[in-house]
Amino acid sequence: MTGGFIHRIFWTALIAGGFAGLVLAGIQQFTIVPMILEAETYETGGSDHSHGHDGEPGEGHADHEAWGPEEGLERSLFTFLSTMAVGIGFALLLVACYAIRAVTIKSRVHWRWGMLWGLGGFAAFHLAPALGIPPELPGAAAELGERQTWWLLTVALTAGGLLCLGLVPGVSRWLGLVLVVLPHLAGAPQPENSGGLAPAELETAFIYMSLFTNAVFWIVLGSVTAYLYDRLGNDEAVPA
Amino acid sequence: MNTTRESMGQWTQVQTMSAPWPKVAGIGAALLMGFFILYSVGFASPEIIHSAAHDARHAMAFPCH
Repeated sequence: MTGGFIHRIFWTALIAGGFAGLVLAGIQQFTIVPMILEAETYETGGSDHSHGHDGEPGEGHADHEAWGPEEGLERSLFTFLSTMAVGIGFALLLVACYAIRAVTIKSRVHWRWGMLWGLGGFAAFHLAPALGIPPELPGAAAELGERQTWWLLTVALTAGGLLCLGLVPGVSRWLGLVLVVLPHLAGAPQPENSGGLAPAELETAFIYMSLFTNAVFWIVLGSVTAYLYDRLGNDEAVPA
Repeated sequence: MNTTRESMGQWTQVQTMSAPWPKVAGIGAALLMGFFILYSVGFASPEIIHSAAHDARHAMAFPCH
């Protein structure tokens, strides 16, 4: 039964995460990727830059090109694989949450309930960080290490805050609100020279399209993981 | 495992009994693996990984570059 439990967690994450990642990569191939490619033409001054994005804006082209996928099919393939891997990674976290919930309160997992968890994931991993560090096209950046730290802290605090708001009984749940707000009071690291190399309209379009596609991804991921997790566990499920 | 929940004490007992270590280990493994995958694809700095995952990182708004 325990083996079944572990199989259930990993198969759910693998199938649902891979599927949601495939859907996201499919949508982004026609929406987000063309914007990235266009932004790169500004980043490199229009040269036939293939990859190895170590070039800071204005630095020109690096002489030592590290490996990068070939333009076209190979590059798309790696983007699909990476996106599916991220999908599986997020799915593992979601399913672990479902499993903890199922073990502690013994209720079944409904796909609509999973959709709510998905929206929570979108809020924690995309919406909250985007308030401080909007999704970036190549060629726009403050210092990377600082942004990564702020991003990680924001994701952790928002996720913890939402879990607190949703699951903690009584007045102490409002502590969650403090956690959610905290990183924004502290403020995100801002680039010294505002604006990237790409035109402002392109950057704005990219921000909204990135948020939109990732919202779709999380809704699909949340509901499909919940549906599969419930289906694969019928043998040991206890009615709610 | 069908203990009735009559008191707070018993409720705690149900929780403890229904979370055997293998399940905890399974959940822990899922969390660890999830974080590891996300770190590798979203954050790891080696140039090869960065190049392979570049467009996905931008599209999913992980801080890149």
